[in-house]
Amino acid sequence: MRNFKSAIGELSKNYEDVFSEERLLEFARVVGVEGDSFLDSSSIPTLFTIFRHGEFELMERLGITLKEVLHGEQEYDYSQPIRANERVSFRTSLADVHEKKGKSALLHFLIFKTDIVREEDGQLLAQAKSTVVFRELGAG
Amino acid sequence: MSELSTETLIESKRMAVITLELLKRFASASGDHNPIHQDEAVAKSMGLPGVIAHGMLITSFVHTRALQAIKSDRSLWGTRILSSQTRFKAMTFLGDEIQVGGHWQIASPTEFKVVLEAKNQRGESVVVTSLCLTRKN
Repeated sequence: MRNFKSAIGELSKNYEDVFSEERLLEFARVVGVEGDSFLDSSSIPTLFTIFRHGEFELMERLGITLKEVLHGEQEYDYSQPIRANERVSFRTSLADVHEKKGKSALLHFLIFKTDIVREEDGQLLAQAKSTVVFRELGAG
Repeated sequence: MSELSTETLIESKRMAVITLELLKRFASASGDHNPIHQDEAVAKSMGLPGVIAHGMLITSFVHTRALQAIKSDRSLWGTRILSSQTRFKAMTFLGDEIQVGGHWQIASPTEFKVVLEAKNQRGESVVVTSLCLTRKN
């Protein structure tokens, strides 16, 4: 049986990114938001899902490949939208881990928290909390 | 705002039919390249019936529906989403048709909530999201 509890508190590296208006526009188009110009993310709040690099990094560090996980829950606290061409930084922590017996697998619930910050003034834009479910087959 | 009550429904609306092309575009736009959302063989090797949609794509349709409802009601203009909580209840497969509807829950004249549900063409609930909203006076 795998045990990820000792990894609680682990931090990803700090990531930086800049969002062009074109990237906001493409995200908006894919999720069915109408409009031909987006100055910020206020009409596409789930844009914050693009900041999951730290989650992927921490899972890799735990020896989990992406195909082995499912998304269980997602929460966001939105403080401010991201403006186009703004530089942001974000880092993820493994906040908690718990297990539950499933039908054919042991389910590990990994809870990740990510703060997304505007570089220019250090303002928090949003906090994300993701629950990712790793299915350990044969350990149910 | 007085015209909104807990009985006020957000009419269910068809948001999308899930195609592989849509999932590939969402993978690029979001950066989530998990192969279970793109590759049938990988999905099956993981014990899934086939390729499944990204939960966050469906969640995005849910948010889009909420913002459409806000936009279409003048009394809701100026409303801002403070937070969202989403539970992924069932998987969405290629060819599934996603409909989203919901209802409002009013706490005060400036703070309110909306609960939205995405369902597939079989009427199964796939994603439930609750949004906390605020409106400037």
